[in-house]
Amino acid sequence: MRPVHKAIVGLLLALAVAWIWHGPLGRGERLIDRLEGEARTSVAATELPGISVSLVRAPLARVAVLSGRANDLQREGLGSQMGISDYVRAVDGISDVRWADEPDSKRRILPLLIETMAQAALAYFIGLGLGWLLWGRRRREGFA
Amino acid sequence: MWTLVQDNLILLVIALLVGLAVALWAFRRSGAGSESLPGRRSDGPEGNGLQDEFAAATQDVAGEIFGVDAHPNIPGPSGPPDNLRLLKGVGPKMVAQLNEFGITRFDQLAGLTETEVALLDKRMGAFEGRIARDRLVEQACYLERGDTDGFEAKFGKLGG
Repeated sequence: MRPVHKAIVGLLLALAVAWIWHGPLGRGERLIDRLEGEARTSVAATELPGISVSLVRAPLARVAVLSGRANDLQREGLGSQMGISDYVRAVDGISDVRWADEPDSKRRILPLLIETMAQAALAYFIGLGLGWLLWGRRRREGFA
Repeated sequence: MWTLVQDNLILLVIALLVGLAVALWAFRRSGAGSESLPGRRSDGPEGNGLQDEFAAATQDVAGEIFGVDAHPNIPGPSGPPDNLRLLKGVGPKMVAQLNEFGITRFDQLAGLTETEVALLDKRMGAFEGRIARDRLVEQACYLERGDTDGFEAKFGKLGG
């Protein structure tokens, strides 16, 4: 088997591990649950009644969707005054915030599985690169 | 993003290790530079494991520091001498120099490890570094096998 084929097999293995990590092992769901809890705490801190927040679940994504009655000022704030969206956006780990009743809530989202797989692939290529530096470099000079 | 990295740290370490393991599998055995040289040893007589390589490297470094001949084990000739002048870049004086080290045959050159080449190259006097630079080991691998076509394809006409 040629080295490039072995590298592809390794990449597929790394992606499979990432999928198992995200899905069957439940790490993706757990992360989204944690972020959702933190987002709810942030929303509760604004003391605005009737506002709820949830994270996108189908597919799992680090995107918070807010719903409830709030005017533009309450939603987005003004100047240095933070709105509800800003409070939720400040939660470490949330990548995007949307309102359910706004047209841009249907924008395309980046699934958490894709992010996890991309990170795993990057880590895999870093490992492969380090391995190449250790074992794969051409050590001889070319024939003059 | 950093939260995701922290949350996936174990996964990322696993993926990194998979990458290292695949690199070991893909690159270490054949080595990018010696893939086409089946007759060539990939390392010394110490063995092929990582532990052996580490031991060999330690031995080499210790040899350098203490001035001890760490790898004197160039295999002796197993038959009548070959015409080493067929190797590109080798003239009568260099042949004499190689003979001083007991090298008279292509298989002896072809069997040299990188460590042995490095050690030998340092002692070649006026020809220091020429074994590696002129790829004598690679040339010898072809001639040892009698693969003159392969030799000529890579290094030019034999005896030319």
